[in-house]
Amino acid sequence: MVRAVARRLGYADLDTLVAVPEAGQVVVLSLERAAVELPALTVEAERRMTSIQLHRLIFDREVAVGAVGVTQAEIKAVPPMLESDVMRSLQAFAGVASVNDYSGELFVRGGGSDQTAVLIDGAPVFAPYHMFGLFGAFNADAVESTEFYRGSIPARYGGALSGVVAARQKTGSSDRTHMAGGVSLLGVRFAADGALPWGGLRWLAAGRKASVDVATIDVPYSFHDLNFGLEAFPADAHRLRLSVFASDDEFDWDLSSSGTRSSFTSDWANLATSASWSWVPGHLLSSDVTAYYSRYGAGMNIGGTATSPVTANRISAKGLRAGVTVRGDRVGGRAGVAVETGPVTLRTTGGRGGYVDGDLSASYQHLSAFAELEAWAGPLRIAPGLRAGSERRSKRSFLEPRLSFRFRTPAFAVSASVDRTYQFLSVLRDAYALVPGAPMWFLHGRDAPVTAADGASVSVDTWRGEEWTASVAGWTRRFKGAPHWRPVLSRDPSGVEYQDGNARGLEVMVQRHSGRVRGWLSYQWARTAFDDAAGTEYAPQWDRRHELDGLVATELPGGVDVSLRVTVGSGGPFWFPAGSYTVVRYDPKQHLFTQPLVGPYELAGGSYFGWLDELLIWSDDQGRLPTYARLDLSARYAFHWGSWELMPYLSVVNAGNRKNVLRYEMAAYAGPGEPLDFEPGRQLPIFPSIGIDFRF
Amino acid sequence: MIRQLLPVAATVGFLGSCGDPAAPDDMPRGVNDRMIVAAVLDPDSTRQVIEVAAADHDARPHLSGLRATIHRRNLVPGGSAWTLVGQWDSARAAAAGVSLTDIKQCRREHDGWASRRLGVTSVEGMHCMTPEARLEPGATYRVEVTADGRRPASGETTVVGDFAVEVAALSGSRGSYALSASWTPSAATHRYFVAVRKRYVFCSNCVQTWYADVEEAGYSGSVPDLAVDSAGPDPQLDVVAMDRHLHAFLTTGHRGLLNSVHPVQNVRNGFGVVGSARFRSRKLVIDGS
Repeated sequence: MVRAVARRLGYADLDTLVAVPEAGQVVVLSLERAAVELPALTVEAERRMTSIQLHRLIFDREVAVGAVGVTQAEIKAVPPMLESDVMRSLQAFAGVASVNDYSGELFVRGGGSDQTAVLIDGAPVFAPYHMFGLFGAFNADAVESTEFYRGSIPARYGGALSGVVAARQKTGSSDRTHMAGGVSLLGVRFAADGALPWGGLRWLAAGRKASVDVATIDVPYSFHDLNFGLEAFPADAHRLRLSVFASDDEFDWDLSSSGTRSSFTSDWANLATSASWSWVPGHLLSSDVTAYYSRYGAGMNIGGTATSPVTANRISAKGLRAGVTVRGDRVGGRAGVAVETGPVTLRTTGGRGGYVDGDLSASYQHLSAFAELEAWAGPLRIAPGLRAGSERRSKRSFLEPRLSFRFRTPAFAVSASVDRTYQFLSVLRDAYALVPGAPMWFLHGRDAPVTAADGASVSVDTWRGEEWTASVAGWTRRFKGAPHWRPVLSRDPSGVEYQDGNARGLEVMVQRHSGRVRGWLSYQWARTAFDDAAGTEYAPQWDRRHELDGLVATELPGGVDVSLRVTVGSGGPFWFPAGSYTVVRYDPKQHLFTQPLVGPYELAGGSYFGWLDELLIWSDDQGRLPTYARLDLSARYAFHWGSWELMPYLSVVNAGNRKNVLRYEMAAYAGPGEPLDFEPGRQLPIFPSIGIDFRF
Repeated sequence: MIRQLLPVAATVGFLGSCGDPAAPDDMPRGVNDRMIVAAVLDPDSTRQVIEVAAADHDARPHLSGLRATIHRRNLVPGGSAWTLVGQWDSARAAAAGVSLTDIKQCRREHDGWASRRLGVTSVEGMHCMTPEARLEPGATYRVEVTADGRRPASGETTVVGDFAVEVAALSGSRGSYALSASWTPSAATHRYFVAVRKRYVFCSNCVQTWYADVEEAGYSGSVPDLAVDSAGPDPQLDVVAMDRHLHAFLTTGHRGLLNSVHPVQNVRNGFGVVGSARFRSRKLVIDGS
């Protein structure tokens, strides 16, 4: 017998005894893959990790409250809206609110969707969605793992208040080329990975193309995304990675009628690239350097008349991040520095009447340093952290302290975290009107505050055998200087208010990880409120007070996997049109009143002609939409055909065809003094779809 | 299998039988305590027309305790003071036998061109008030409107000065009409609208109405055939001098598709415009006729 030790970056060390082979015989030693980073949430594509293994791995590695895990199998188990979606599957977790069926955005623990940073291989992705947020931008077949932090964010991440989704692209395996993909009513997608025969170079290439025509409203919509990756091991303990992600959305809705040209167009594109170098000289030390470039471009044209101004948003972020991780028996730590610069432009050209009337363009240069420590003292783990940074263009600096601890017994564990985070890049979101389209990012002006959030959270986790886990968590967060925009008289960005608010919540989650019937049941109560400039408290759009989410997955006799997901939630807040008034319609491009002006030269009469623009006046008081409920079902069957594995599936979203309300619109005006009538706009009706996934 | 499908069927049945939600859990009353104010001060008129409506539909037309005042700004050392120069309220209207809600009558009975012709805004349930006030060109005036349970709304404008059209000549033929016009400058005027007066207001084919928006006291340029065709046999040139508030209100904003873009306004705590304008007209001299 001899002792064999094998180490390879990206794999767990192997230290074992093997029998000495006879001459000419070969002993094959297999290395288990293992991440270098300490992931909080890992969405596994190829790894054979079970749900409970992943849960324990994450729980053991991260002290901060709010780190959760889900396997690729669990993502596939969630009844898909056309196809499986990593971002939408994250919505099912307690602490994450959704606003309506059409949005896959993540509203984490009281924060807006722009307060959750989305990264792919370390590069920020500013619009990680397709179709106005209906689908996530990441091709599930191209993503190897995703880390998801809710509320308590480790110090190594900056620039986000409420959460981080850090996706990592697949890398090819060395044994053979793999291919996976699918065809659905949405479009086609594929992902291929493998290794080149020289130099151990591994590669990934993936793409997705979708084109949608919604017959009832004649909406031509198309999008595509691409992933490309290379990984090389130029020397022992060294790894190089190159990652490219690109996406593009195009939407053009022609609303012309009766000789009046009108349209709504929106397009946006992401390009996120990164190159990283990892060096792991030993068990106790590792280092990473990542350089990235992320470009985002969006345009929106809302032309209700001949007026056709275009609102454009551009970001070109360039960054460099370097960190060192030191591990010890009782103390470990991580430290690093980061720099990110970039211009952010948001302006409307071509006249008034765009999404925003004005120019919010600026640039930033963000320098930061972070440190995370972790110490063990018997059953107690303590993990303090600190992030310090400055924004040089506006000459501002900030300190973000974090502290987490966990007390663990054989039966349960109590964890707690407190933290402060800052954010100076936000999305200009119209809180009154649901305007679909690309997110419009802007940099907080020099005179505007940087948004801060102070949070505290505590959780009690328990488990039973290899099947069950359960957790109860409570959290509270206080926001200062969060930008909110409720355009009233104009869409001038000077109307942005930097408001203070608070949020608190309670979450309960029970999960069965294995067994014939698997799934989870989560419930959350949350309350989020902000104070406007007049001191009036109001609820943001994502303030859904109660939400119950359940998933049950099982295998029926015959090998058919079926899943059922139920979501029941209280209605979100909305503003109602209180009234309207009309003015003459003017086209600034032509300097013409495009309809007869009842004015200076209409001398013969003085009566109104009727071709006037009606402008909405919003109500001061908010209402609540009715209770939301949705049932989704799916069935999937896998069979083999040669080296292929084919998995046709059927999915039915809103199987009960419940007419959930999206918003209320003013119905025909009954006349002065008459009660205001309204009519509900609906969310998704019953939506069946079929598709087939494959891999070989 | 049946045991496994039972929960599915039960859930479908439960959600399906709940009924579709129509009424919200909490319906707002649709309250907005602001007012819409449209006041175009005209120094050619002795009575000024101030139109007011509640911002929220439910409250229209029941604005009670309505009162409008016009104050003149006087420059004094170290600041300014405001002098009341005109006012109107429900009691005055009743004494004069005027209905505050009869907009057409209100506009018809007063001789200012703005009151009859410049419908800058419109809502059902509009109230009309006509305080008597003699305005001085170049002076700044504040219009204030109050009503029971409403935020007091106010706006300021500098009244535009007198002017006269000196030249108004139309030359050329179909496809090449040219207009040449000039007038004396009007003090405190931001821009001028120049137009060939149309014979009919209700012309169904004049989708695009021509006019020129100029800064200088004159216009030389082409005129579309449609403008001349609809002018009739005795064409007139109209020129309107207006202050920056009224000009901005008229030339900005639109309904949009998914979001309204309100015009630029200057009514504090309300909607609408407080502006100033003056109207002059002159018969067009047709070249060669």
